[in-house]
Amino acid sequence: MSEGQHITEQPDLARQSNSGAEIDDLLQALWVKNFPILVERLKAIRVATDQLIRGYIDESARRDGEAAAHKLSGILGTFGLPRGSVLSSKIEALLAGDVLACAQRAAELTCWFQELEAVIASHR
Amino acid sequence: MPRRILIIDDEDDIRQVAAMSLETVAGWNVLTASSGAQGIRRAQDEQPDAILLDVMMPGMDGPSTFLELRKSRDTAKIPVILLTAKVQGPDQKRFASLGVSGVLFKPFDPMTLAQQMSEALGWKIEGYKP
Repeated sequence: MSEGQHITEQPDLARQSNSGAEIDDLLQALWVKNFPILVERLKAIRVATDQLIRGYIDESARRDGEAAAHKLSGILGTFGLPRGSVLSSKIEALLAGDVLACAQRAAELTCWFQELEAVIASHR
Repeated sequence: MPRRILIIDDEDDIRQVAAMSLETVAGWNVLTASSGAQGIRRAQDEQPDAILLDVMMPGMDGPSTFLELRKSRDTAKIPVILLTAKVQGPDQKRFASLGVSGVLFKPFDPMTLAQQMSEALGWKIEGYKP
């Protein structure tokens, strides 16, 4: 790691005392603004899940589902949904595996996906 | 004078939340870029005090972007913190070996992101109470 700079700053203390509530309000606004993106990511995972249930997943669906799960794992905890990040990480890891192994774990993926949908729906 | 931070991340929601967090909690000025190539141009033009750089991006990923930043005399000394959802040991060792100022993990807490960055950069913020 490289050495950083050492400088003392005096931030606005009044702003900081209010920042918790302000952050909550701004996070909620960003949640609403970005909800369509979250829904699109869920759709990509649903496509992969549905294909696995039918016994075969094509590479495009697997890759899109994995990418969508990766993105959800990175943001849901920030929005106050740590369980959503955990579930998304599990889905990402499963979809990153080989197709045959994924197919054998379709039921597990289905459970995780349904819980993930419920977690996101509960936050609206 | 407020710090100026450049966030490079291909995901709109991450950029928006991180920018909001750094601006609201620490009062920093935030610039954003949605790709490694765009981020390099913004870093050259704007000379931010530090860069928060996503690891997994399409095209030029975070480590490749970092190495390009280091090649240019204009950006070689700008401290860079990587932001990643990958937490496996080999990744951490690889990132540390690059020479970045720090590695932070997604999902991040918007209330403490500025503090984590400050600690990684050796910046002290008086009175900071997340």
